[in-house]
Amino acid sequence: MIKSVLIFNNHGNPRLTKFYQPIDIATQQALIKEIFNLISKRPDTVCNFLEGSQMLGGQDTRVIYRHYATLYFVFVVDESESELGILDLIQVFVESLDRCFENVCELDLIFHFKEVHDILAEVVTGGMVLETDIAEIVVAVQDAGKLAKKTTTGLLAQKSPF
Amino acid sequence: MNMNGLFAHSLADLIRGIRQNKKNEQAYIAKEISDIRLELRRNDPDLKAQAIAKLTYLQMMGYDMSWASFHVVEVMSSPKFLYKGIGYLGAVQSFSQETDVLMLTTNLIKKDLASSNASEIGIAINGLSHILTPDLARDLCADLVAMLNHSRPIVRKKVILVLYKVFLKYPEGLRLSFSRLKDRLDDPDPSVVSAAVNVICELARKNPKNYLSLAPQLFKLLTTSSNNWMLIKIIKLFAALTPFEPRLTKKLLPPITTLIQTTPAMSLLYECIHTVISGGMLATTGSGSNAESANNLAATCVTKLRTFMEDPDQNLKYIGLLALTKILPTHPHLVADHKDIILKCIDDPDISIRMRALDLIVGMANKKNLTEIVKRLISHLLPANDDEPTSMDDGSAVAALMDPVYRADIIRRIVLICSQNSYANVTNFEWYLAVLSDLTNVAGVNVGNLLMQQFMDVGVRVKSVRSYTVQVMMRLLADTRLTEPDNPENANSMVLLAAAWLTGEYCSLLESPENALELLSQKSTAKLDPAVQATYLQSMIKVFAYWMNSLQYAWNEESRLSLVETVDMLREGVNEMFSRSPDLEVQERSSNISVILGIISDHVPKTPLKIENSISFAPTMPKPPSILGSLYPLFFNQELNPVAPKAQKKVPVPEGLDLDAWIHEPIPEPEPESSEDDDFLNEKGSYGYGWSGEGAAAGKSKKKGKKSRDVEDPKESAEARAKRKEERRERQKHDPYYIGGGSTTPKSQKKSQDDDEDVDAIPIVQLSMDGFSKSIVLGKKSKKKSKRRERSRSPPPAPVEFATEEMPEDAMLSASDDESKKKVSTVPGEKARGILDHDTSALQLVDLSIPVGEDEHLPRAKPYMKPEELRQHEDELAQRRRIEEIQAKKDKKDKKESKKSESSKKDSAAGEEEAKTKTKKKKSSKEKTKEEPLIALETPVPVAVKSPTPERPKSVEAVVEEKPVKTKSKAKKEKESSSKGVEAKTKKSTTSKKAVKAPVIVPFPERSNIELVLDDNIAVTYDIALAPSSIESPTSAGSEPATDPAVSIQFRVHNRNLTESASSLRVVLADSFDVRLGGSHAGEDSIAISSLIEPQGRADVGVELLILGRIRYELRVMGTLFYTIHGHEESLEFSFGVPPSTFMLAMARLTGAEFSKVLTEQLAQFSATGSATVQLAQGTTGQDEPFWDAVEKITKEVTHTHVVEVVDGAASFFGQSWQGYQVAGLVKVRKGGEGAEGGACKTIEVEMKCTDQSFVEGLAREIGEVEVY
Repeated sequence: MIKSVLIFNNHGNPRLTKFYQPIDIATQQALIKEIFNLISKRPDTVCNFLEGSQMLGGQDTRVIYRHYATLYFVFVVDESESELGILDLIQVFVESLDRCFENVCELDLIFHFKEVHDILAEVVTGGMVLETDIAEIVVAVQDAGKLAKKTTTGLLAQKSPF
Repeated sequence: MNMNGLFAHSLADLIRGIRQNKKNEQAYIAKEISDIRLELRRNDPDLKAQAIAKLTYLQMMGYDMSWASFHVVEVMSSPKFLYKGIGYLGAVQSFSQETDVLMLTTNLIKKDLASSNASEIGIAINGLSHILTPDLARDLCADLVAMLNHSRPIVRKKVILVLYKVFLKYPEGLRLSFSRLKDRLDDPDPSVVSAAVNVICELARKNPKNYLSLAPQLFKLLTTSSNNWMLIKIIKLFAALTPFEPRLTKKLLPPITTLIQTTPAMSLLYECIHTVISGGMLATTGSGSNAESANNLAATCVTKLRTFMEDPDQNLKYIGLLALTKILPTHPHLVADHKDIILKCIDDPDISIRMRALDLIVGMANKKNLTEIVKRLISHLLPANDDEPTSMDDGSAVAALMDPVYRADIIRRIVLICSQNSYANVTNFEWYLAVLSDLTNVAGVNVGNLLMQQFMDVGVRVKSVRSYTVQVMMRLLADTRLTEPDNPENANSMVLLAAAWLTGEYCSLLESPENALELLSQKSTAKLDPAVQATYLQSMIKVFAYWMNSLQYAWNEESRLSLVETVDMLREGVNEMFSRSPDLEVQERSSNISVILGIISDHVPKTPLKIENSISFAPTMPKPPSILGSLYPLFFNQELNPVAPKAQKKVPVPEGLDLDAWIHEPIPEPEPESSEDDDFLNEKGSYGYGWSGEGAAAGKSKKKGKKSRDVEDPKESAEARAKRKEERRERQKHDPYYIGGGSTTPKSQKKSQDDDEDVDAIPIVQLSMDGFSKSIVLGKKSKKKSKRRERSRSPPPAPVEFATEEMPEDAMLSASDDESKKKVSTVPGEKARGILDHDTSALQLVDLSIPVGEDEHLPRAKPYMKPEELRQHEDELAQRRRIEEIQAKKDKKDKKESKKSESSKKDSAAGEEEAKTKTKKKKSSKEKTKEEPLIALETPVPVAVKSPTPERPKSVEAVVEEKPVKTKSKAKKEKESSSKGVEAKTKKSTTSKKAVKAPVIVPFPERSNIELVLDDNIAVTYDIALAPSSIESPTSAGSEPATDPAVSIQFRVHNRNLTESASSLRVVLADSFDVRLGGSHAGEDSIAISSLIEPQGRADVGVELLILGRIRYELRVMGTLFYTIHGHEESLEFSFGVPPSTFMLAMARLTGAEFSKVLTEQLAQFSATGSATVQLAQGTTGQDEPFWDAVEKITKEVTHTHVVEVVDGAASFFGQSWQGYQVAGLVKVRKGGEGAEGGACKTIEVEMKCTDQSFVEGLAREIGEVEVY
């Protein structure tokens, strides 16, 4: 199971937080901070796996992350996920973001945080991998985008980039 | 603050604002949140959605939004997709299990799940996967399971994933729907299969046995699929299954070996290797070839793993090491081959990799390489210098080296590899002690307790290095880095406890006891931990006792002086540093010691010793005071040896002793002294080495002495004494320090009794040597025994000599060993849960091997409507209302008119005939129906709300009579309202209008009294017809039905029994996706027929069934009739079909011209065809009658159509169904071989064209079953 998906930047500012088991907001923030502290110390040359953290606890909890320019993409998973598989999945997620936003950058994630959630939801649902085919993901996201456009007029109508 | 919606901050404004107000972000956000509160209070859906979007963004930054959960639900229920998405996102991010508004979401989610748009279903499912509660899971499980057959793969795969979450909250659902889930493994869409594998993989981790039956299906997927992601999951799944089904291994080895050898995907390769290892496939010890192939595979795996480790990619290196760690226990030799590369990894700058390499090293250590490995590990603890084997230029890596957690880990590992298997790897203990004392100083992290235990353990266990140990300990005691640390946090001062204790216990090995006494009483001791101080005190008195005893043998003035000096020094030290200690233990011990020292000081001559016999020839030494030897036996009667871990357990329970029985009634108020005693004992948690027991036992016995002195009463009765003795014995049973109690062999039993007698009999009044030594026996009795044994058994001196572990002599060698084994072999059960882990304990209890019983089904989903159905329904109601109003105007003469129209306004489906036939009863039922449509707007309820009444035939007639008018006006209305509609549509409605306009309408004979089921007691027949409520609202040709059709079934039950009454009759319909109870029975589980039927009596019940499935030939209703007779409940299972013809409407006859016009103009719509043949009875001759009979039967009775045109030997017919399907057909005689015109016609053929394929096929099958005689 994937337990959490986090995106934060080089300064530890969260850009996306997703916990697949409800936890209170204070713990969420503390956890983000802890994971950021663990990860940000690691140079890019080292491996992308961390064996849990003090807060996370539990057995076999692993933190798998990738660092892209200004952003860290972090997946917290348990042992039923393949380490290399999750690394690939992060790549899939990022490529999907890139396709949907056309050259994604941190600002895209900031100003379209709902869309980022939507894209993530097409990759992972309920902590399990839903789809790994980027084309399928993009189609699903665009379908939803079209529907949103069709049914919305008014304040938020122009917000969706898709 | 801007109250105007148009100028309210959008999410983008908020984000920009936050970025611009970096300095006073908190204040800015606080203001924004107060604005959001105002926005939420306003009744503007746009503003609300925007406010929730903003809140959700702030939630990510750590601002609570739980206060807005109600508004979140409001936004979730927005009809606009975008807003709905915002609402769901807000819920996902902020709701917890306790969020109370979750209760309100059930129907909302139900509706969204039923949406026709996959995206809408998608957000509902994704939202649900986060906010599921046990209630939601139970209520929605049936809906979700039904959606497993959804036409869109994207919906199916999402449903599968969310079902896992449902099962977590509602484990019962798993058993009831598992077969449906399993079916998805064969889904045509690969993503759906992958999702199913994913879920089953998660389920199987919790309880693998349940899923063994899936092995064949999974195996097929393994060998046929090329989706790496799914293959990884399948392989992981098999890893969970193989331990429970060893035969799987043999089957899996070939495909996995192939994958390992061929796959280019590193992730898959790795998982294969990982599975092979963790699934225990390499450990196969079966037939020769099997074992060989397993060994070959192991070698292949390790070779592949080496390529991982040699890869420059750190990630591959990491997992390579991870996998090697797992293969190590079974194939150490294979791993050992790669020692070089593993050692290289120890020095990797990447700490994760280094840790994994360390894991491996720990497993690889042996006698030969131990020193090398330890040296390497210690080098990691030293500050970087030139000896460092590899370049540590990476700054972060050096920082990591200094990380206390890392350092502590390294030290733990060093200790682990040295001490594992009772020091099996250590050949030179002096070396090990040196390592330990080195670690004490380089640690830089507090590992004092660990090192302390190691020192004590080695000191006690390894006899041969005891004297060296004592030397080392002396050095530690003198080490100011420990006694006066710069940084007390990281100093391992706890090792001083070991140092003090070992020095005290083995002081006979000391070179200079005086030296030790000085060190033990030095001033710096005052700063140490109380536990260390207490040990210091105890050791002090021990060393002193030893030293004083030794003075006896060379008693002279010099020794007298040094004794006096030492006593003074110690008294001073004790009084200064310890006697005022806040720690009770330290204080008590210091007081004791102080008193003892005082007594000794009193007995030592104050004056210089005279050399008495200076004149005599043989000058004798002065007689030493007897006090000198008094303390020694307290401590050194025998050597202290380690206690075997199981010693306590193996103490057998003496015969006739019931440990659970009260020996005497519990004393209401326990003696304060004894309770204090117990508390003190309990406080000491660790007794693994017996070291704290020494002090405690001694202290205790001393106290005992005091106590017995206090309470000793010569008049005390023998009973009281015996009682106390028993009491004490009981206490000793539970005393962790009391080892050798209550043995069964007569000899030792007798001995222990003797001891007890001794103790009780001791009237200790003054602290004489005799009394002291005797009283102390209590605490040491077991040791005496073991010493004797040890002497006889102790092996000849060897290079490394281990002390024998103490065991009770008559240990039971049975139970405890097995017990510990059992513990090890248990399935890995409860794991420590992390904060993000789900509670899966309930899932583990689900047993899928129990078949799902007939009476078990998912909780009945409340019937509901899709949003657009709901809207359509509303439109329809409005339309009907208008029609009704028009009609009402027409019939104004009627006085009751206004009332009627009013009632019909509200009354959705109920026809006017109800209003006409007014009875009290009807009124009430109407009132009931009046309410239901209102609910239908809020919560979905069945579409057909009208309940069939016993007067059904009459009402049908009424309907038929009125129908033309109604349908006509409706069609007209439709035509009007859809004036912008395309031409085809208008045409269609024209046709139907035309059809309806024709004057002659012949109602079809209804199917009645069809035999359903019978047994000795009960016979059931039934009638079936389109439900009146449906008849009223037929669908016009070419358009989609607005609702589900309903049929009414009339069950007629006859009690055939001549004497007995049948009671409690009810019908339970089997769960079906095609049919659901409607009308007055909607939502019920069973249909009550009658509580009692007299012998030969009858009872009827009308039921309305909503037909949800596609109308087709096989559409069947199944159920069971229950009744009680002779006091037994009997059941009768039945099943009957709902023939498509049921839905055919009675309609006006088309003329030939109209018929051909319909066919030619709408040829494209009549794409479906069906044909059937009917055998005419043998022997019919020339007349046309049988043919016409057959045509009559086929049209009127079977298909409910009507004949349009008749030509010689053929006839055309036409009809229309409730759904708007039009059926056109031709019946003709198949010319027989004989060919004579009008001759024996044996077969007639029916060919039909229709607008719906399955419908016409169903009709054709019906015709095929016709028998014409």
